[in-house]
Amino acid sequence: MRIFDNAQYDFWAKRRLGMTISGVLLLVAIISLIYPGLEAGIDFKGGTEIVVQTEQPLAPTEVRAALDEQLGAGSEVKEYGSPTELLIRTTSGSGDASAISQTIIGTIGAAFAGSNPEAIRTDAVGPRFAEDLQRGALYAVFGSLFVILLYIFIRFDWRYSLGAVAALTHDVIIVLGLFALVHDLTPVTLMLDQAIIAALLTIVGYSINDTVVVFDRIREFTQLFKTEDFSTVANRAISSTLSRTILTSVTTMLVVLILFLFGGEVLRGFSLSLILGIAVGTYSSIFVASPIVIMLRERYGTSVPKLSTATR
Amino acid sequence: MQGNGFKISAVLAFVLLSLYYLFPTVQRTLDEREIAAMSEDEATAYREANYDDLQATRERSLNLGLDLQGGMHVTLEVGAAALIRELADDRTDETFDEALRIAQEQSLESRDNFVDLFVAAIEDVRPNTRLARYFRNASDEINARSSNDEVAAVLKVELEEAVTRATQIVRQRVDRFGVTEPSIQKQGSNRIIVEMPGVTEPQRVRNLLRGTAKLEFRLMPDPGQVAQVAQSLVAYVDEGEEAEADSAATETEAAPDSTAAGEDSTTALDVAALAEAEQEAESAVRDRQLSELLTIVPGQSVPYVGQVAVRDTAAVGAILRRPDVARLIPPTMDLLFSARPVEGLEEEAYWLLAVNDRVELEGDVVTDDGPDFAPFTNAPLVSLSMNTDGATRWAQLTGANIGRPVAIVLDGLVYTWPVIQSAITGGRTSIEGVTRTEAEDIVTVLKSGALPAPVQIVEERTVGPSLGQQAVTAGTRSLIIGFLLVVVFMGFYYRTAGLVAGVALVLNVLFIFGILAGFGATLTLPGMAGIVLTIGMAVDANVLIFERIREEMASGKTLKAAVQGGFEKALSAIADANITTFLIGVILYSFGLGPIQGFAVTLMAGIVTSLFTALVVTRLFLDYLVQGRGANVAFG
Repeated sequence: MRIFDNAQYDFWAKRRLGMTISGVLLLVAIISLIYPGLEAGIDFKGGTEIVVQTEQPLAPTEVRAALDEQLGAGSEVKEYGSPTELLIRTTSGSGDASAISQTIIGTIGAAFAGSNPEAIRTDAVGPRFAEDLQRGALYAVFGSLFVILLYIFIRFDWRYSLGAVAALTHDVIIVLGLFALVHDLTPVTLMLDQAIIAALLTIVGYSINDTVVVFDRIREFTQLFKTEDFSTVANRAISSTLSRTILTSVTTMLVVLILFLFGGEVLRGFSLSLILGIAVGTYSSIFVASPIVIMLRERYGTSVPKLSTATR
Repeated sequence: MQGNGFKISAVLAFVLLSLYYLFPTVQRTLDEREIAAMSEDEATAYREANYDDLQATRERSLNLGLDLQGGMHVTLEVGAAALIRELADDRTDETFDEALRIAQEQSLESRDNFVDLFVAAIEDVRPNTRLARYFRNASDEINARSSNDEVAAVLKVELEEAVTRATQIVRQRVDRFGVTEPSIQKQGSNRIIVEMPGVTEPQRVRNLLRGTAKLEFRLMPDPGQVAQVAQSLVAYVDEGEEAEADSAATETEAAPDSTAAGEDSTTALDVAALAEAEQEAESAVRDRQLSELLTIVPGQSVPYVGQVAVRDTAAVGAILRRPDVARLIPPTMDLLFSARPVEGLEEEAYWLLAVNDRVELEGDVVTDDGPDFAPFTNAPLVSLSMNTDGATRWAQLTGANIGRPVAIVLDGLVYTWPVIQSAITGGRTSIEGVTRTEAEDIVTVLKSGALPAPVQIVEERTVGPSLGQQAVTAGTRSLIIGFLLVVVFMGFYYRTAGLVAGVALVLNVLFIFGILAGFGATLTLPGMAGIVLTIGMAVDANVLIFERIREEMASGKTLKAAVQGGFEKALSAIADANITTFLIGVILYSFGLGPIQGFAVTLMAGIVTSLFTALVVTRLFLDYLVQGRGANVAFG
């Protein structure tokens, strides 16, 4: 079977369309990052999150009312996978893990006779520890962007380097923005936590993978078709790698979808962000990274990309 | 096919090596399945008979993360501020307190060593303060003429040692508790990470880890006086609530030294968060009167302040710590909670008791301790033996106070408050009113010695065993379905070559697990997600190669030349793409924690193995089919 065999699409001509789409997406993303904004999970904010299993299904709103009386307002109660499992998240109280989970269990047990609540998972993070996690996440995201900037600069040149990092930043912002946009609308727990940061970095890894394959082909073609316009060459490179780009997206998307469906509640937010990220990442290596390289080249000279060991 | 001998042996060697490393894991699974099918007695007998074998396979099998097998992950922080206070002489003053407070505040924002922050703060509060005046007794190296730098250096060493000591003590406690394969590591300057698989009693473990084993014997004040204090407290707090008294003004005043209930047992997640959290707790109970929280039981012969329901203990503690409230408590008196609930009540509640501020005897006089049972009632208890000095003082104390209760306080909780019947000579006593496990835990804590400084739980993650099992099932299911889908898709798209890629993928997964087992890495749920993701992405290298081969074929080359050219031309793209992703994995590993590191590890392992399988395994198969068999391999 073949798709996109000898594909000859003119991506460069469609760059305005691409820019418009990216622009709109970025705008929407940035607005939703400002409002409603991303909700930080306890990893980055500190607090306690417990999953309580009860013998009979309880209504989250009633449980919440009962808890508010004890802990003061501000705890969050959600159904977690099944009606007899509730996810309770709170940042209030004395900050002590044991005290809070005990209070929660005690309160539910007292308010709903026969519910026999039991904590099957507890996560408690102190505010100071949360700050450390936050710092670690920031370092990780910016660190990875910087490392890629450097690597592509060494292997290609600065135009490619900028194009790649612009595409990655574009992906990260859009995924985070979409996350903020839908986090109230889905039953899935969408909170910015360590797992989401891991997902973001994976997206960065995936997207750069895609981008590098295209860049590699552009570099190869510039050696082959020296007389042609750079934009034509780049266009041809994108077209000829298109079937690989789509194919890899499909297989990766397949497994991520499987993770989303079968991986359980814990991995849901993680796999959802991967789904979004793979879609955006695939798009950006075609419509963001390469056009930026072309534009930079047209603007700042047409030095031949460095010949490196890889060009055999 | 020439020159492929080495490649073939390499692949075979890796396959064998992976199988070798994975064998114990398979063995363990089979063992566990076998044991699960037995009755409980049989299982116990089987376990005992084959203890060594089972232990060996367990140790060599693939480690599962706590999120997969259930258990508890705790990060402890050694309280630097408390340690400095401990090291200081008794003659500390306001400057000292103020500097400590500032340093504590700053340590939230700053990565600097706490000692540096403290020194800077004290020089800020009162320039030219000589630190030596506070720490003359902290170490032999400090004398009245020591410079601040010298003192700071000593303090840093002390802090460092305290953390190391605390790590050892925590390890002893966990070992005595009987956790299989615990992991205890020092992290950074003052944190300890404790991982305990299979632990199902989080509360017990928390107490065990945090217990500073501060054992005290204290006399108790007159019940009449305590009743008066209780009444004035209730009257003041409730009136304050009604009148909405502006407590903000009084709160700024310095807090009296002897404050309130459970100060030592404060178990907040974070020292500095405490103040904030307290204010929150305060505002949450602002509209609740103390008389509702505290049930006063009049006419007691023991200095009880009252009973507090378990869910209200934190709130009452917060009220009692309020400076304006604390002033109402006589400085000679401390209010502490009982360790065990009040008997004969429907709802779990604890006594709030008054004990004397003065500590008559401390745990350092105890020479031996062990769990035991009371002679007649057979109730569990902890028996204690004292050294000569302790025995003499204990005899004097009990002799002089016959008919009065004495409180035995451990880590800020009153365990027993027996009325002294006669002078106790011989230095033996006991902590009663404990359950059997509590007795064991107290002994564990006392035996391992007191922690050099209080530790606090700054992070805790507990996963129940059933949830872990669910995660394993979910992870395995995703892995299998994802794998099958990808193989089917590749076979459908690339025909024969796709199936070759499928075989490579099987080896890929085998190698990933082999690497994890061989390097003793831990498999977590995110790690499993990483493997699933790798399955999706691993075919990328194959796709790159196959696409190239198709192009080469389209340009009219023979199959053999096309395969050759395809691999060569795809190499640079594959290399660049995988190196960048690998770098991301490295970054993720260095900045992530716990399960996320597990993800990073499988991602990196997956990149290495997929490079190997695509470039070597796929190549071998294609070469064999094309050159060896002369087969007409279809690339779809």
